[in-house]
Order: sequence, then C-alpha cells, then structure tokens
Amino acid sequence: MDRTRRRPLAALVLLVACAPITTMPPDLPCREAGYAIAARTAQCTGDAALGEARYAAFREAYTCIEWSPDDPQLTDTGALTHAEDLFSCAFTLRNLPCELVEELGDDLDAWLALDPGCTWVVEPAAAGGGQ
Amino acid sequence: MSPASRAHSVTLALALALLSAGRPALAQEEEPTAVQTMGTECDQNAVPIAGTSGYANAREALRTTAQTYSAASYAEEHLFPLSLDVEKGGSASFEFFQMLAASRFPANETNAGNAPTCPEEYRVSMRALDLQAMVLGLSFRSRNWGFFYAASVAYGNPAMPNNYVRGMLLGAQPIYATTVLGLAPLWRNGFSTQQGASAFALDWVAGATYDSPLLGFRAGYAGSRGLYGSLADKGIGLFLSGMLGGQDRGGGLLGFGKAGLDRAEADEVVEGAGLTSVYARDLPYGVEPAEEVVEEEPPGLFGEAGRLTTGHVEQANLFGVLDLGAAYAFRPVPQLSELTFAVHSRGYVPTRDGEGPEPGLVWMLRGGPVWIPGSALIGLESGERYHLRGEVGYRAGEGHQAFTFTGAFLMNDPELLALYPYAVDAPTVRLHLDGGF
Repeated sequence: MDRTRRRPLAALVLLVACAPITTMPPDLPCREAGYAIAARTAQCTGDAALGEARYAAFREAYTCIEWSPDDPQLTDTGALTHAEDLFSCAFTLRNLPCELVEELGDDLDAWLALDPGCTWVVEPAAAGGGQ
Repeated sequence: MSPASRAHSVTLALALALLSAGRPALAQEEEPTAVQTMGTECDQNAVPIAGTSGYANAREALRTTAQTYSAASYAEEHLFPLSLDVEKGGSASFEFFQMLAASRFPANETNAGNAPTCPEEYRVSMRALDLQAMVLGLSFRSRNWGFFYAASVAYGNPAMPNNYVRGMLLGAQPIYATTVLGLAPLWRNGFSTQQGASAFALDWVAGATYDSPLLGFRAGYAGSRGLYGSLADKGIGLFLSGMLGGQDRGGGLLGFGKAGLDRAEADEVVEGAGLTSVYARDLPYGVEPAEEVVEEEPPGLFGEAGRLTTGHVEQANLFGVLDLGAAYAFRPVPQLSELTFAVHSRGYVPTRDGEGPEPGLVWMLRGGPVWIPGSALIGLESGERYHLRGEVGYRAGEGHQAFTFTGAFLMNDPELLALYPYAVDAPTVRLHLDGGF
C-alpha cells in the first residue's frame, strides 16, 4: 500500500478509536446481564474467579437476543416503554444485596428470574438462536 | 455553581457561539457531513445508563485517575527524582494528561429521532468518556532538610458529540485547572465529587524531606487524608514507599505501595549496561468490594479484591540509547503483562544523581506487546495488543538546573492499561515540564 493510501487509513483508525459517540452493539443488553452477575458475585464474595466462572456458565446456558434501539417492537408491544429498559436486567442484578447473592449462588435461572426485563435479552440456549 | 463548573459553562457557550458563527446553521434536511458526523446532534449531556459495565468502568476510570494522578504518587514519580542530590535549591514539575475515549458506556439520547445526525438508532448510544489530569509539584532543599508540595486535579466527563466543541473544551479546561492547583490546600481534606459519569477530584500532599549521604526520607500528609512515607537508600538504590489510608483504599489500608531497586548503576559492573530497576507495586484496581462485605471484617493492609500487584524488571540506558523491560501481573490475573523495547536519545532516562541527557533535542520511541486479561467483571474481552509511546522534547541547561519540556503520544501503553484495562486503543497525550532553580 502506498503512502497516500495509508494516510487516510491511519486517520480513520484514530477517528474511530476516539469517536465521541457510536451505535450500541446489538447483543450488549444481554452481555451486560452476564457482566452484572460476574461483577456482583466478585464484589460480594471477594472471589473474582467465581465471578468469571458464573459468566462462563451464563454464556453457555443462554443465548443472547439482539436488539437495535430503533426496533419498533420495543415500544409497540408495550412491554418496554424505552430502549434503555433493555438494561433493566443488568441494573437489577448489579444492585442485588449481598445476602441475596449468597442465597442465589450458582442458580443462574434464579438470578435471571429476579427482573422481568431479563426475558427480553436472554433465552435458554436450547430454545435456539437470538433475534 | 462552583467556579470550575461556571468556567466550564462559559467555555461551552463560547465554543457553541464560535461554531455557529463560523458556518451557516444546518437545515434539518441536510445529510451528515465531515463536519456534522453521525451522532453530532445527539444530546450535549447524555444520560448514562446505570447498571452496565460501561457505566461502572466510566466511574472506575474517574476514580483511578484521581488515584493515579493523586499528588503523592506524582511527587514520587516525578518530583523527588529531580532533587535527590542537591545541596541547596528547588525543583518544579508540571504535567497535563489527556485520554480520549478511556471508556465507553451506554447512554440514553433523548434527542434521537429529532435531527438528521441523531436518528432513532442512537436512542441508546455508546458515549466515550474523556479523562484529564493536571499535576503541579514544587520542592526545596537546604542541606539535609527540605519540604515538598504537590497538587493534582483530575476530571472526566462524557465526550461532547460534536468533535469541534469537544476539542475546544479540552483545550480550555487546563486554564481553570491550573488555578485550582495553586489553591489546593484551601480544601483541607482534598475534594472529590461525582455525578453520573462526570467527576472532579482534587488532592494535595505536603511534607518534609531529610537527606543524608546514605539515606533519603520523605514524609507527608495528603489532602485525601492519607499518610505518605518513603525511604530510599542512596548507595545501591533500594527503596520502599507507600501511602496509608486515603479516600481510595480499594478494600485495603494501603493507598498504594512500592518497593524494590531504583535505577542501580549497572555501568559500574559492566560498562554500557545502564541502569537496573527491579520493583513490585500494588495499586487499587478494578471492581471494589461491596460495602456491606467490607464492614463485616476490618480491611487488612491489602484488600482481597480490587488490587493490581505487579513485578517489574527494567534495564534503561543500555549503551546509552536502549531500554528493555518486562512486567508480570500477580493479581488479579497471574500472567506476563508486558514486554517493552525502547530506543531514545543518549542518556534519556536520568540517573538517581540527577544526571540526564545532554542539552538539546530529546526523544524516545517505545513499543512492544501487551497482554490484556479478559474479565467479565469489567466487560472486557481478552486480547493481545501492541503498545506505542513516542516522546519528543527539548532540554536546556545541565545538571540540577536543567529545564526539560516533553510531549508524548501513547496508545495501549502498559502503564495506562494496568490502570485503565478497558482503555484499549484510547489515544493519550501527555505534556510534561520540569526544571531546577
């Protein structure tokens, strides 16, 4: 590649790296639910490895449902009134009391049953692929 | 409204006025252009969505910046080395740090769907967090005794969606931050505030120094309610330093700790071998333990979670122009964390005696692989990256009274990734100024 072609490429890489605003990855609400389980586990138990293990189990047992924030289903169904409600599952799980985290343990179904919004972003792996 | 936030608002208003004066207002039907990129017309102040790793990382990044650039650690890294072997005189040091898109978090854009460059798909956007820090250090010594003072201002905020406004704000912020640095002790206990993904932290440290031909001792009080102390052997270069307490405990009593060998003169054993450093370091890192758990048992010297412990081996000024380095992380994930190779102008790394490079142009180019441990706890995928660090500057004068100015560009720098592991590919600029009198 000659120099004149490399220059715009370098500029593009730099611009993308520090762009102030980008679109949301479609599987982010789902992944955030798993990250929330991992982070809250580590915070409450002091065991970072246990948090990572629960995230791995989450990815194995569930499939992500992908969303775009402009998907008409979000508001048309009436179940979610705002696109940011896709993160209600992560919000709930990240703020659980530590006593409850201890009680839930490795039962991921029980974790995800705590917020109705979780059914919008994850589904059991056996049920097939995401949206 | 605080003076800082007032200055921020005035700067923003000025920037917007200048932008609108510089070109005609965009009609609604206009397509995105190089000036008005997608997202530009989304909310100036996006609302971060709590409960996500991006939001947690943004808040963590702001906390880390306050810790990293807290006055005590800066004094140790940059101020003390300037005055180690001075009989009588002072030293001053100043640094400006800017990291773009240190973290990204989902944000709610209320303006989505109402402007051509903010369509409905931006209803939830990923917004960048920009971080800045400024630090000022002063020290003076007369014979064995001396004093030191250092102050730091660290702040961060969601990036403005318009890159031009963003750039103008970033350029203006140092103006009021510099003022605040000089007045830091007026806030007796330091100061920090955080709202959403925006934060401002001020810290200062002041204390006394004692130097004999064999030992150097520093003790000080930090505004963030910590006690700082260090002890250095002037022969071989053994040292021990740390801060107890402080607002950022990371689950333990130790604000930070560092011990080892600092720039031992290997030249005395093998000619051209340069300076050898071997040290271990412990810093707050990652997720903090939940408060209710911390309260059950008093914290020990080191916290069980939320710490980064690393071991470093560095050989600087090999044949005067090369540096080699390696680091291993013991926790949170045990692994080799970096390999570094650098080439620079002769004598770029100063000795403990304060002997630095020759006057004139100084430069350094550093790179190598860095391994990022994947962590679901902070929403980070594992991976290998290459780091790059370029520094260029000018040094005037010789010995203790030399004056040096350097500018640096960094990307995936191991030191920065250790502190901000999610700041992968985040461009960083650092300006540094120091000198003696």
